[in-house]
Amino acid sequence: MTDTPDTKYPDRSRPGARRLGIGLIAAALCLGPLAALAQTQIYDARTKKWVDYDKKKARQYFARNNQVPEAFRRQAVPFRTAEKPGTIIIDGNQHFLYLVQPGGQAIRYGIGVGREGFGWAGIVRVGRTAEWPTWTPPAEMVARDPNAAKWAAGMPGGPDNPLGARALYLYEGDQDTIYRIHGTVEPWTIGLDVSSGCIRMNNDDIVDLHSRVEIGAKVIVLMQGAALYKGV
Amino acid sequence: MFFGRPSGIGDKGGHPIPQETDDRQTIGEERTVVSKGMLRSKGFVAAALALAMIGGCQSPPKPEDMARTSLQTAPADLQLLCAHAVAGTAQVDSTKVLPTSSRALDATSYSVDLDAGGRKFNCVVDSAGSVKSVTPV
Repeated sequence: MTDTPDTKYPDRSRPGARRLGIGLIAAALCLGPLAALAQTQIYDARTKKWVDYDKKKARQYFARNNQVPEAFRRQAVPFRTAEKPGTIIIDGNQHFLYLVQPGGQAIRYGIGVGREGFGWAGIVRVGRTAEWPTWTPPAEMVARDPNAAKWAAGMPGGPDNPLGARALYLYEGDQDTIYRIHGTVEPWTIGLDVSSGCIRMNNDDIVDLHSRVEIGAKVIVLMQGAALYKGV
Repeated sequence: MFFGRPSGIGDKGGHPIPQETDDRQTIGEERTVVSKGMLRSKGFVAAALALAMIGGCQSPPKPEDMARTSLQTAPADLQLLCAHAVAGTAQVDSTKVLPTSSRALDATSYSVDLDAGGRKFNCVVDSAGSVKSVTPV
């Protein structure tokens, strides 16, 4: 199941979301060929070569190891920044989310991010959070996907819900951007460009992040893909 | 605006060539007199050893670094160091400065493009976190 921004409300009610939409369209039109150059690679210790890491390889790796490659697992890393502890930084190109800690450190989590044409950038904040959130498919998904149509009024939270165990709702000022940081029912997709703009994490990781962040926390989303900036 | 220069460059000019270099050349010449066949054999062994050493020097990345993207963008913390530097240069609130793209210039430095409230800047930062330049575009 493909996750999407929670489009419970129409875009025209939210200027921030409308600007984002324009940015995404522009990104899709202008950056398709360049964004296509981005490819996750992992190091194969057996052959000592970097190899492309796509959906097929990700599924195989997860089936063999029951976890994602080590680089995408939660870990403390050095992080030089003037940002305050508690700030979230999202590097969609490298598929990492950083939670700034004191002492030049950060907790790094692996993430799945927007597929080609769905990347975005901006400085937003955590407006609210939810445990086992409800997922409401967007109208276009309801129209094309019978499985989504049965949840047109909202899918209750639970282990089969594509938003996973927790969700952090990203706001620009007081406006919901429609983007979220959330869990997933497809843990093998961490490290890939798969979503419609949301940032997905393994359920264990989103539960951990949720327990550490405060409402209002600053979230810096770095530009994903090539050089077109249309922030929120 | 530039902040210093890369260290270790241009600091050692003018030093005399160490005498031991000449000693090694002499030893090498003596060996050629002994046996050309032996030299070829030893040369082959030396070349093989050198290749093995080079191979051995290419150590694999640490487990936490065993993932990357084919887009060689700057690490997130270096992009944000540039954003902080631009905020100071442009005299704008740091919440208005956002990196918009980045790329590797060489093995140790990155170029970062930034938007500071509508004004465009370019920043060069090295992998040690030292901002080398901030320039309006």
